[in-house]
Order: sequence, then C-alpha cells, then structure tokens
Amino acid sequence: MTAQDRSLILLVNAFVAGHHEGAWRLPQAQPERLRDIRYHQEIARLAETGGFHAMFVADFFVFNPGARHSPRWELDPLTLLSGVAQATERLGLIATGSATLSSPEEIARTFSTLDHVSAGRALWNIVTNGDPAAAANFGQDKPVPHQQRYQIGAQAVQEVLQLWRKGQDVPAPVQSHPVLVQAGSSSDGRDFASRYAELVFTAQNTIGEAHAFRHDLLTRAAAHGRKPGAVKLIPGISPAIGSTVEEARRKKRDLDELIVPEASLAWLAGFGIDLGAHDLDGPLPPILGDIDRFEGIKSRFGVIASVIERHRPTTIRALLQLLAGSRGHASLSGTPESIADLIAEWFQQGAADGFMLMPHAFPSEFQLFVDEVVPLLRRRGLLRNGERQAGLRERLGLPMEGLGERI
Amino acid sequence: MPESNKGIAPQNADDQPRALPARLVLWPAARPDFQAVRDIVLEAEALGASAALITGGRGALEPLTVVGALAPLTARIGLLAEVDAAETHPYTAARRLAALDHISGGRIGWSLTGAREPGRIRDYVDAVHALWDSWDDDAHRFDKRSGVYIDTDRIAAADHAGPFYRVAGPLDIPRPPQGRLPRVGDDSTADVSFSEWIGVVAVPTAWRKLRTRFEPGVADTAGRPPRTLRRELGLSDIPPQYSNRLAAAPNP
Repeated sequence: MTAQDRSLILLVNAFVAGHHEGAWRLPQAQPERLRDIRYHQEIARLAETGGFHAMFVADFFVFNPGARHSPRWELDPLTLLSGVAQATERLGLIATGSATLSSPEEIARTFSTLDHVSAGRALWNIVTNGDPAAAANFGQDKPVPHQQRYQIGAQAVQEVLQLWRKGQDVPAPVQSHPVLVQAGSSSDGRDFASRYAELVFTAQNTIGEAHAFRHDLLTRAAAHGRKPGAVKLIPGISPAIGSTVEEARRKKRDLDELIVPEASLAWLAGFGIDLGAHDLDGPLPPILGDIDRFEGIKSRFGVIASVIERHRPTTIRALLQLLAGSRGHASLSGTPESIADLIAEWFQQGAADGFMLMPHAFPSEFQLFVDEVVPLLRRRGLLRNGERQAGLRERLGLPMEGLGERI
Repeated sequence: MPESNKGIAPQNADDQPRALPARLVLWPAARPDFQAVRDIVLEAEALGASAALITGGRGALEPLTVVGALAPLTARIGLLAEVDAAETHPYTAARRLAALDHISGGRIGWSLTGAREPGRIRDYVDAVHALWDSWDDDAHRFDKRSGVYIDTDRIAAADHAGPFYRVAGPLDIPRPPQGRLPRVGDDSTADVSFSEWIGVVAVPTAWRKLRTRFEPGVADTAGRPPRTLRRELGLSDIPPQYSNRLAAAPNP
C-alpha cells in the first residue's frame, strides 16, 4: 500500500464529559446527562458528520473512587454503543471486551449482536485485566499474572474467531468478523498486536518513538504473514485548541485550575503509582513504584515515567497538571493549523495511520475540532472524500476478510 | 426453547380470539434477524403491549445487547432481557441491566435461564440485588463549584459471597431508576410469573397471525406518560432507600 492510498483514520474516545479531569466543571458541561443515551448519540452524530470513522468506549469493570471528583463511565460500552448504533449510519462502534473476565462464547455472542444491531459496524477492543478489584467483581481470587494474560488473550481471540466462523453456537457476524482492536506497547503486547490486532491503540509522545513502534509492529505483522495495511497504528492525541497558541494554553490552564488533586492521585494509583502519602507541593519521590511487581497496565507506567523524564516536574502537583489533560498521551496546545500540521506530519512520515482524539471537554472541544481542524485535514487531502457508501472495513482500509482463515 | 419459559406454548392462529394479555415473549428465529425483532417490538408497542421479553439461546442474538438497541427506539413498552447464568456473570448482568434501566427511563426487566442446580437462581439474584443496592439512589452531587461529583460515602462494597457466586462490588453503574428490576420467572422468588405471557417466534409471519388478536381499544397507553416496568406489571415501587447497609442497620 503506497502513501497515496492511505487515508487518515480518525477515532474519538468518547469519555464522558471529556478527558480533562476538570472538564465536567465547565459551565457548558452536561454531567447530568451521562446516563441519557441522547447525550452519547449527539456526540456520535457529531463524530459521523465530522468525518470520524469510529467511536471508542473503554471499560474497566470496576467502580473507580475517583468518581468523587470527576465522572467515570455510567453506562457499560455495549449498552451505550448498541443505543448509539440506532442514531448513526456509518460510524464504527468500538466496545471493550475482556478475555480474562468473560468467556469466548459471551464475547462472540455479544459482539456479533452489536454487529447485527449496527448493520456491520462493531469493533472489539480486546483487553485482559490485571486489576485485583476487577477480578474480585468476577469472583476471582486474584488477577491473572501479566505474563499469562496475553496467552489467555490469544486463546480467547482464536476461540472467538472460530465461534464466529462456525456461526452455530453464536450468530455469525454481519462483517467477516468485528474489527479487532488492541492497546498495549509492552513486548508481549506488541507480539499479540502484530498477530491479531487490526487497529492498535498506543500512547506515544514523540514522532520518533511512534515511528519506531509502527515500524516494529509492521515488521512483526509481515513476519506473521499478514497483508500490508492489515495493521494500523493509532496514537492518542489530546489537544487544547485556540485561535492562538496563547489562547490554547490559557484554556488548558483554566481547565487545570478545575482539577481536584485527589482525583489525579486516584487515577495514578490505578496504574500502580501511589503518591497519596506525599506532600503535593513537595518533590517527586525518587522511585514511583516497582514495575516488575505491578500487575496493572505496564505500558502506561512507562509512558508516565517518560513524561517525568522529559518535563522534569519539580512537584507532585506539577506532575498531576502535566498528566491531567492527556493522561499520558500526546498533549499539545495549538491553533487548528498547528494541530493539523502535527497530524499530517505523523501520518505522512509513517509514524501513525490515524489518531484517537481524546477531547479535553465534550461536547465543546470536540465540536471545535470538527469545525476547525477537520476541514484543514480535508483540504490537505488526508481524509478521503466519497467514502460514505463503503462498509466499515473499506473506510478503515482493512482487508474485507479480516484475519481470514489464517488463525 | 429457553428452560425458564417452557410453560408458554406458541399460540395457534385458530385459538379462540380473546384480548391478549399483551405481555410478549419473543423467541429467537432460526436465523438471527434484528430488523424483524425491532419491527415486532415497535408494532407491539403501538398496539399497546405492555412488555416484551427478548430471549436467547443457541445461535441467537444476545438479549441484553438487543434490548440496548430497542430502548432508544421505544418510549412506553417494557423491555425484558433473558440472562443466561451459564454465560453471563452476575456482575455483567447487574451493570448492563442497570445501564439499560437508565437509558430507558426504568422500563427494563429480566429473566434468568441456565441455572440448573437448586439454589443457583437464588444466589445469582441475590448477587445482582447486592450490586444494585451498593449505591444509594441519590449519590450524585454534580457540584461544579466545590468539585464534588458523587458523594462516594453513599456507595459501598456489595461483598456478596454465596454458594455459587462471589462478587465484591460496588457496581460501577449507578443504582437503576427502578431500584431492583422486576424478574419474570417460574421459580418462587420471581417477581412475576409467566402465567399471563404469550410466546411468539420472532419472525414476521408468526407475528402477523398473533397481532390480529390485539383488540382495538385495549391499549390505554395513548397520551399517558410512560410508567416504570414495575408499575406496568402491577408491582409496588421498591422503597427508595433499600440499600444493604440501611437494611442491615439495627432498628432504633
């Protein structure tokens, strides 16, 4: 596949009131509507008319006490996205399903059903859970160790694909199979992604790191016999947008002011970094945590460590503000032109096949991206026109047969 | 045929005509067909049917996801999903049913199948109830000024440990509008029995035979505001403060 054939993929991570912890406190935020399906349908229609290919809903399978200061999901992904499907026609619907908390039969049946109620627009974000609290919700004494999680994930994917192909115990999907999605940048994660994933979510901070990651991923995928273009790398991006860079920075600062520090501390604790006992205005402790003893999300731990290394925040409060808007994904404050420049550069230089937009605030900052940045991407020919009629896999530039009979 | 609904026979077209009780059980067709299910439910709602239970089975669509698609398309009809205990953990059932109840304005109910051992149904239902009760009804603060979104002191672990299921909780979804969703079944702990439900295979031809027996004028739904499914089925509302903590509190 040549560079000219590639079309930029735009996904939106539709996280509640926005990805900035302070977003729900903005005057225009509508946190009372998080259990109203119309709120999510409105965001989905904005995504669809704004040229986005799919909407993503994460899932952690556990109550997060951080909800005291900032909203978390109040609908599960499958309920939300089956409802959103009824108000959209083309938008892909990325739900999360856990290989360690659900059986292959349950995942196969549920995601095939999402594919049916959306006429072929389902994507499965494959996760395995290392959170002891999530395991305890499902009657497990302790989470599956990190090393075994990818084996279990691989086995689950193979069984789910087989159930879909047979179409006897569970209904055959509308697509060849729902598009397989995976996030994770550890060595085991890369190997898994290069075998099974069609879209790979990742947190990358620099174009160099992203380029190296994508090159590694595509090389491994080719070694597994996968077609060129069968795997797409999708970094997250969480921009502050202003008519000038100064305005964008001011907007980000205003949001930062709305953060309750306890909320960020709770979020970090979920990644195994517990700073609760330290003074917020004091220095960072020399050792954040022991990654080898941590069974949680290892790749995010590394991303946070690299943010600290690059920005060298002098206090814990400064670190929390650095992470507040983007949660470790590429964060930038800029004008629509500079954001479009960055997207174009990463895409054209082979550091990304598209981006997962993580707007600071819904619906306001998402609307701004659609109104101000998307037209620039269209003008540069990065977003293909005339793809309205095509099916989901064609719009994403993925093989119609998915993984085919290979697995 | 789902185990729990075996008492309901499909109606023959030449049965004596009478007004339908207007509570439907939709059995899966041989080929999964969401459009057919959707059309039947929309028409049943227009005819004044009070509830439709979506069942599953081998090769069938997953009922909770089907109901998720039907909820925003309907306004009055109660929607029930059959949950298969052999495939779906109580935590998953509790959170998805709660989410459905939120997006439908309290129109959701359920039935349980696939629980063969005695006591398993009871244990499953207890686990689901403990999760729904893990939030108080009014835990949200939405206080933009102080930065308090939810009063997490009003949320507590479920800590259900039964003979078949262990669930820590709390649920990650707020308590459903109905509190505890009504369950239809033929066991002693069900809220509603299947005695007044009528079964139809969810294919358009089977439905066309059945729908002629809806008496015009039976529907009294026109113009009245939607009700919760508990009300629709003639059940009392659950007291608003039915949390496990309050229930466990010593009497004054």
